[in-house]
Amino acid sequence: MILDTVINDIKYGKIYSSTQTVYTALDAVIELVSRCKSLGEIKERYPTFVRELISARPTSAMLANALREVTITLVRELKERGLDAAKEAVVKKVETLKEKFERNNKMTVQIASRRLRSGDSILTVSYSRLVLETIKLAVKENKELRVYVTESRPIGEGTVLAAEIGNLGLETILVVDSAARFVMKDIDKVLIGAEAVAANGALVNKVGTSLVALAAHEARVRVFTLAPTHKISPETFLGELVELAEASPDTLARPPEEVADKVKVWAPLFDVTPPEYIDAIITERGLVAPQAIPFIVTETYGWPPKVKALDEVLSELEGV
Amino acid sequence: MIPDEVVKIADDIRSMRIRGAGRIARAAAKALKIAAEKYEGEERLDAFLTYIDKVAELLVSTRPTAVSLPNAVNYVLMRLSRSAPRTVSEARSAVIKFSEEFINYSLSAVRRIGEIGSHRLSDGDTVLTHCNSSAAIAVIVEAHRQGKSLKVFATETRPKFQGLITVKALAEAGLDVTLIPDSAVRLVMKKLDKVIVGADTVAANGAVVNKIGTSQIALAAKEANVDFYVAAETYKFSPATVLGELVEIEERSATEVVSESYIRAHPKVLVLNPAFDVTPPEYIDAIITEKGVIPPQAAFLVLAREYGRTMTDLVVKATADLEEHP
Repeated sequence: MILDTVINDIKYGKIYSSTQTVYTALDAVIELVSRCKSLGEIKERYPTFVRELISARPTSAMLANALREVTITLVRELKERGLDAAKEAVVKKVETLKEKFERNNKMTVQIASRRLRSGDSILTVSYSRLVLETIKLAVKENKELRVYVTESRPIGEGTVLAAEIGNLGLETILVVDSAARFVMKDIDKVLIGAEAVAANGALVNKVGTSLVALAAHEARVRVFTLAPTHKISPETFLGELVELAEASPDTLARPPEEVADKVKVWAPLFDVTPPEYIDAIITERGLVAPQAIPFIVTETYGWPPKVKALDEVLSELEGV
Repeated sequence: MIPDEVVKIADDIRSMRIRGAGRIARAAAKALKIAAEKYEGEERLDAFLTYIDKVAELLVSTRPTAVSLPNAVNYVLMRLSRSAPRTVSEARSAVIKFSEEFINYSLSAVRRIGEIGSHRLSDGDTVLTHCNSSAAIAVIVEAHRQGKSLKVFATETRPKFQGLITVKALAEAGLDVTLIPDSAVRLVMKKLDKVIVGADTVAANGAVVNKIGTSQIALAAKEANVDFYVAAETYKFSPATVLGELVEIEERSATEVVSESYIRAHPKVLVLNPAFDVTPPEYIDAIITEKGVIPPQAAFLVLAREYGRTMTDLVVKATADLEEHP
């Protein structure tokens, strides 16, 4: 595994699913830790690498949450039991986290699939593993669905999701991003994944999501987002804004040669959907209104939320 | 019997090598002119008129949505019939004259829209445009020429990337222009003061048919309280819609969106590729025509003034059809 490549793949959205992105990051962290031969090396390389991962994907609440937990474990083990034990503990922690995420995902998918009725036309954007799993489960339950997918530029990962849904044997309709409002009158439900959910219930997800949610709202089509609690960003309770990453400019069409140096290119990867356009956020603990997200957060982090910022934990590591 | 050059123009319109409602209209007028010049049939007036009708039919059949195309053709044919030619030579000159007249009219209309519309843009404005519209570009470039400092965002405009033609035209005119993906139009909205787009067809109620994506940009502009303008020559207003005719939305080939191999590999995936959508009048702040700025709901005024005769003809024809097939 080449660690720099991992950072770049994450940064430019090369890994379509946000869950898969986090798994790749966690595997890279294990790899880095296993390569470190001394406490000094870990203290030097680990914080830098984790900060690079975070700045490659600053939007991902799941990434920040997972790295916080792994780092807390690492610090504790280094303090209490030394380097070799810490390495082992990190591997174990990542394993437990993945198991927890998968459990959360499975529960979320089960709740979500109950919301789908046979005969529904669903619209989805980008590439969400949870949306795909929900559709798979609904198909297993013999529900007949028709699924519309937007291409989802600048990366275009919607075409990949459309292909995978098509392979399930479902009638799948691929449209350009511009056609979302055009097809909305044929849609019963909008089902989307989540990059992060903020304290006020706002959803951070692939760019274009907020436009689709707005068009759904206009057409009175219900919008559901699949966001297990590990997608909730506790930092936003401390007033942090979610920073929106950009794709590499070369993901857009290339302006003509003659004006290439004059034309600027802006390829944002994410946008924010306000809570009033989301009918429900589906978590493993149940389906809630976006405005009820603080309630879910207090269950995990208490009230007021007790959560260490990742940076704080990394500083602790540097001080071991 | 239709000259190759004319057939080529029709092909170019169909395959979108010639695109943009204004350019299509001028190309159609030019094709009529060439057809008249190159007529080699019998020296009988009725033979010539049948020939011109056939050419007109071919041109109109190329694209279903943009009304500028039939309007351009009707502009020439109506004036031809009103001029009551007695010989082939008179008819030929009439077609040539009225085709040229239409082309000049169309070009001066775009210039005039630029002048009128430029007053709507203020110094320091940030503007978004979608697809590639000569009228919308004329407005932006004219405002820039007047010394107003503008920043422009242009969408890529999938599937055919007409945004690239727009950024080229604007950059060459010296504007500060940024290309964005279509999915980012709501995200960019809070940076914007105004949106200006062109039109393929304006319906009787003021609804605007334009490149797919226009209606969701208008929706996002409404949400953000950003002014949304449509720049449209009067020959883009559709008289037929007065009679309840719906504007047909052209659906184009899947291969414009994905590759042939993708289509073969995924037989269950259907690509829906509508070329246009309809923006309701309530999302449009004003339509800028060469005759002046109107609220979209006043589209009927333009239709009555510009196409009064056509509309009467249409009503007469519709009534006659009804009487024939009650």
